[in-house]
Amino acid sequence: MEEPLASRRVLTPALLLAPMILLLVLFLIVPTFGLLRASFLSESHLLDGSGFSLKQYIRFFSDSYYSSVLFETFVDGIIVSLICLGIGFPTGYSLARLSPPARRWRIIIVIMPLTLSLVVIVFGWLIILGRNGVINALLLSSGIASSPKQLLFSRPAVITVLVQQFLPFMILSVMSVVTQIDPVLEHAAANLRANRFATFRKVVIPLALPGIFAGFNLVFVLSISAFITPRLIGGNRVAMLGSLIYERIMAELNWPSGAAMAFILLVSGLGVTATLNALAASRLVRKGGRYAR
Amino acid sequence: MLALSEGKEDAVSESNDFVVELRSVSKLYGDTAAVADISLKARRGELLCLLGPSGCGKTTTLRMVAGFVEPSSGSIHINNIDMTHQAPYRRDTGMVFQSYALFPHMTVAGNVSFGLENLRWPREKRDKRVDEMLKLVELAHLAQRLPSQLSGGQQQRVALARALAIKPAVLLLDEPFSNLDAQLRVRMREELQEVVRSVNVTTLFVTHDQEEALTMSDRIVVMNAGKVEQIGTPGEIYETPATPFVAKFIGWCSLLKGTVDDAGAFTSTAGLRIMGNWSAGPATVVIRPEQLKLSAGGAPGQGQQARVLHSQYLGGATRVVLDVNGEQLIMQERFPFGRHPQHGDVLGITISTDNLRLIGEA
Repeated sequence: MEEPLASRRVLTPALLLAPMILLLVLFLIVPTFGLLRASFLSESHLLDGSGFSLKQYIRFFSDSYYSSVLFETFVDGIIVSLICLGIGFPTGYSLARLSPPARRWRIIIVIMPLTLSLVVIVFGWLIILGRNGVINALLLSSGIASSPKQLLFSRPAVITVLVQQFLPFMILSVMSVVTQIDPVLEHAAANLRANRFATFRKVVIPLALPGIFAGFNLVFVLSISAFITPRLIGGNRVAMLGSLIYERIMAELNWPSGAAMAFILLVSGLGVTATLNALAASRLVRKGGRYAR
Repeated sequence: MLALSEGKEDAVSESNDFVVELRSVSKLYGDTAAVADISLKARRGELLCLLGPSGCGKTTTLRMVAGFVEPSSGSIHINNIDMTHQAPYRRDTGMVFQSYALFPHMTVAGNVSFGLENLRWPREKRDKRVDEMLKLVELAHLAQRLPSQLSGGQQQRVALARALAIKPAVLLLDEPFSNLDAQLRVRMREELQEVVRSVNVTTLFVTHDQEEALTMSDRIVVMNAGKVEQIGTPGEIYETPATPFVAKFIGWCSLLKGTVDDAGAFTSTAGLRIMGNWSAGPATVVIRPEQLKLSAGGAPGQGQQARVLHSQYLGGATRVVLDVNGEQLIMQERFPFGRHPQHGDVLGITISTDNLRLIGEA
């Protein structure tokens, strides 16, 4: 007996998605809820896992240290995203305007750093930025500096390394959207007396906005949740929430506190992303003539 | 406006007011010349058509006028100013692109207003102009729509309004009808012609469609393989084609190669003789379908003997390919109902030598 077509239409996609959904439920959804539960425990009930307490959250928001770390984390995330945008947009745009064969190996170069282990990347940066590192050697031999500079364990160093790690996401986001923009539109703009800057501002940027926002979102979320880079490059001087959570859970075994911070980071990160998306949707249509007001 | 012939043959120049002038313009891609040494002039208010098969360089020529392609040599003048190396936005042109290239993120009004904003028109003037242009193309009621919400014909009208809004010295049209279906194409052709005439703008128009070129243009530039074959009015192009290519490209015709003897009569290579009074030498004769007539009802035995090779019923007439003395000739004729010629039939025909075009070989 043949299965009715309609039920097959429902079943087939469900079957195809099942392994992925199973994976997500087991290793993302369930642990997330576990973490959420843990954030409402007090340290004294850590082992029996009973009780309900808002203590962790109250402590976070009443101690100005934590809110300043959260703020710094977001500021760093925004700075990293903006720098990635500044470097990634021209790169992504020019990649998009190349012919697909010319684009191929250039994309491989862009993606290459992502294939490296994060630990390898970070150690590479330690060698470059260290007291006896490449940059200090250059500074000394060129006479710009008379003694080695302290480059590591600073906020700029963390931001530099984060930019290097997450730049490919921005480049690829911008590129994928710009390839969808018909180059003839730029000719049309030029024909309508728009110089290169005006064409860029009024045609290319608005049409590339979805890619810009997608890249910004990705880089921002990755940056604020980074913990290896801030720990190893920033050391104890640079506190980002990710490394704070890591320390709280792995070093102090204080799950409730770490879980609460993780949730605060998650919710506020989602808030920023949602705001960006809403902004992207509302700015997409440009009106004209009398209707521009 | 009566258009005139141009260039070396230019005998009766009515006006020297040229809006666009190309002087020996060439464009090389590597070793191949997309455009080879083209010179042409468009008079003020004239609708000049660049006609040719795909790959003949007509679009490259238009893009060079717009400034999207830089010529390898030669110069381009707009309103007597050398624009050869100027950026597109410094040139006084308005272009309607083949794909229309409307800005998808702007409304219809936004698209039309775009050029005026770049020209820094004050808002009141700009709004007035946008309204005026949308009224001209009868789209005022769709001012707030996005291009994606418009039909192909409407998009084309927006593209036209947008190009004309900035009052360009020359309007450039790149195959503007190729994305429309056949019926809409004819209607848009009439509409566009009307709009262009009403604003009296000099227009350069690229097409591969000879019917479009014949019906719309003041003058036609026939191009082939990067070169100009002939420049003339539609009548001149059709009636007195300068080269066999032009004859073949514009309308149906039969081309007979042969020689003219000392008596002035033409004999084709296959041996078909046509009496005339031409100067001796190798030549090609252009015979249009309407120059073949059935002799006295078409009965065999009268006039030239012609055997039917193919016949195509077109409704109003029948197009017949005939074998006349070993030469293939195309005839178009209205046969009485029920007496359409079949393959193998023999007809008697006469070749009308009035206005018969003979192209001497240089």
